[in-house]
Amino acid sequence: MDFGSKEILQQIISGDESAFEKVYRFYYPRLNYFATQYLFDAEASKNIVQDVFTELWDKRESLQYDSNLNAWLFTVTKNKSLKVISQLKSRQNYDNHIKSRQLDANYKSLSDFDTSNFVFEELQTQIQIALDRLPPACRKVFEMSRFEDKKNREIAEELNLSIKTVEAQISKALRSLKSDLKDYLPLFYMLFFFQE
Amino acid sequence: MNEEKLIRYIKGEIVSETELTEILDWIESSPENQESYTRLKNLWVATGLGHPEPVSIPAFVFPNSKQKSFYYSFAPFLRYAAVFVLAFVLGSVSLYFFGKSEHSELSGCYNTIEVPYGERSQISLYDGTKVWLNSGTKFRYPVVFGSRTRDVFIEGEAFFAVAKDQEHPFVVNAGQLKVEVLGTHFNVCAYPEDREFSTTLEEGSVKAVETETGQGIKLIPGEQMVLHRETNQMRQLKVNTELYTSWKENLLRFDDAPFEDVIKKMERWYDVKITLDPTLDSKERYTLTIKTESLREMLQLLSRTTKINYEIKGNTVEIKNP
Repeated sequence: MDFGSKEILQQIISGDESAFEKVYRFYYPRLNYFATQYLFDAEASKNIVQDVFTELWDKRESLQYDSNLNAWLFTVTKNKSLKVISQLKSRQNYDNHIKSRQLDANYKSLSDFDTSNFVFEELQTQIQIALDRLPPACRKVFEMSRFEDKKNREIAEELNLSIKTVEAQISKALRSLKSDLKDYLPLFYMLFFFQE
Repeated sequence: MNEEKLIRYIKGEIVSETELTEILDWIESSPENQESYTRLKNLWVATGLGHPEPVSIPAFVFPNSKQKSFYYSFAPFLRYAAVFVLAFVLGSVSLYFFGKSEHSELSGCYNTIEVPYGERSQISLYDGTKVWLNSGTKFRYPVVFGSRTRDVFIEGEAFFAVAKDQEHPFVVNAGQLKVEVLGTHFNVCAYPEDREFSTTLEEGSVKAVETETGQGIKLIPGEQMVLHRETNQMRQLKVNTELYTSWKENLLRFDDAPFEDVIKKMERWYDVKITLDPTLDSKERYTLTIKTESLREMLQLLSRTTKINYEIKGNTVEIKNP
C-alpha cells in the first residue's frame, strides 16, 4: 500500500476514519522514532506524535488534495519537535549541562533536516538499492548496527571481528550511502556532503 | 574528531562524561563541525526510518466520533498498555537476510520477534494489520509485504486483526496449518509442543488448510477449527470466541476446562514448568478468569476445588497428590 498516495490523502480529507487509521498505524512508529532521535525523550516524543495526528484530523479539510502527506507529517513533527527541544533545553539548563548541549546540537541538525519534499517509500527504496551495492561484509555490519540496533561490541563478538573493523565498516557503509544517494532526493542533497 | 567516534556518539554508545564533553566541545567549536555532525546524524536517522522499533501504538481517539472506532473494541487491552510498555522487552528482534535473490528488494527482509514465556506483546505490520502475540511465541514477518500474498510465520499463539486488502491475501503459516484470509479478526494457536493446532474466527472469513493433505475448511464467525497433528484430522466447532482471544486483553479465561488444560496454559502464562503427579486424577472442570493473580494465588485457588499439594521452587512447580 502506498501511504503517501494522493488517494489515501483524499480519503482522509473527506473524513474516512479507516483510511486515517491506516496512516496512523503506519506512521506512528516512524514519526515516534524520528522525534525520539532528536529529543532523547520518549514521553515528549509520544506527545508530539499524538499532537501531529490530532492536528492532521482536525485540519484535514484545509489540506490540499495534491499535498504530499509524507512531507506534511514529517514537517509538522519536525516543527513541533524543535519547539519542544527549546522547552526541554531551558528546563535542563541548570541541572544537566551535557544534556542541554546535546539538545542544542540536535536542534541545529533537525532544523537542517529537509522534510519539505519528503517521500518515504521512495527514500526507503533508494536506501535499499544503495545497501545492495555494498560489499556483503560491509552491508552485514551496517545492517546489524542500523536495523538490529546492535552495539559495535556485540557485532564484533557475533561476527568474530575486532571493534576497529566494525567501526571502519560502518563508516565505509555511510560514506558509500552518502555518495549513492546524493542525486535522488532534496533531503539527501542536504545530507550527503559530510566531510571526512 | 574521528568519524568512528562521532558515529558511536550518534548510536548512543558513548556514556562517559569526559568523552561526551569532548565530542560536544568539538561539535560546538566551529559551524563546519556542527554541519558534519548534522549530516551524519540526519543520514543516520533517515536510514533508520524504514525500521523503527516495534512500539505499542496507543488508540487514536477521534473527536466527536459517532462511529465506533476500530480500536474501541480493544479498549480493555489498552488499559494495560502502560504496564505493557515496561514488559515490552522482546526476547529478540532480528533481521534475517535471505541469500541475495535476483530481484533483490525490501520484501526479502524479515523481522523475527520472540516473546518470552510469561510475557505478551503486540505489533503493527507494514500493511496496518495488528498482531497480538502470546507467551512463548515466535513470529516472523516481512518488513514489507511481497507483491502477491502477505505471508507471515508463527510458532505459538497470535491474534490477528488483518487490514482489508482484497488483492493481497494474508496467509498465516503455522507449520502444518495454513490460514488464508482477506481481512478479518482471528486467533491462531500452534505451539510446536501441542498435539493440536487451532484457529478461531471472530469476524470475517478464513480458510484453514492442512498443508500435508491440502484439505481445507472455511470458517464463519464463531467457529473454530482444531487440527489433530498426528492424524491430520480437522474438526469444526462452534465456540465462544472470547475464551480463545481474551489473552490479548491480558485475561486468561477458562470455561468448563479440564485440569490439564488449566495447568498447561498456566505454564506459559507464568513462565514456569509444572510437573503433575501421575497418580493425580482430577475430574474437576474449571470456569475462571486469571487477571492479575499471582502464580501462588492461582495455585491456592485450584487447591480449593482439587485436593492438591504444591511446591514452588524457582521456575518449577510440583503438584502432588496429598
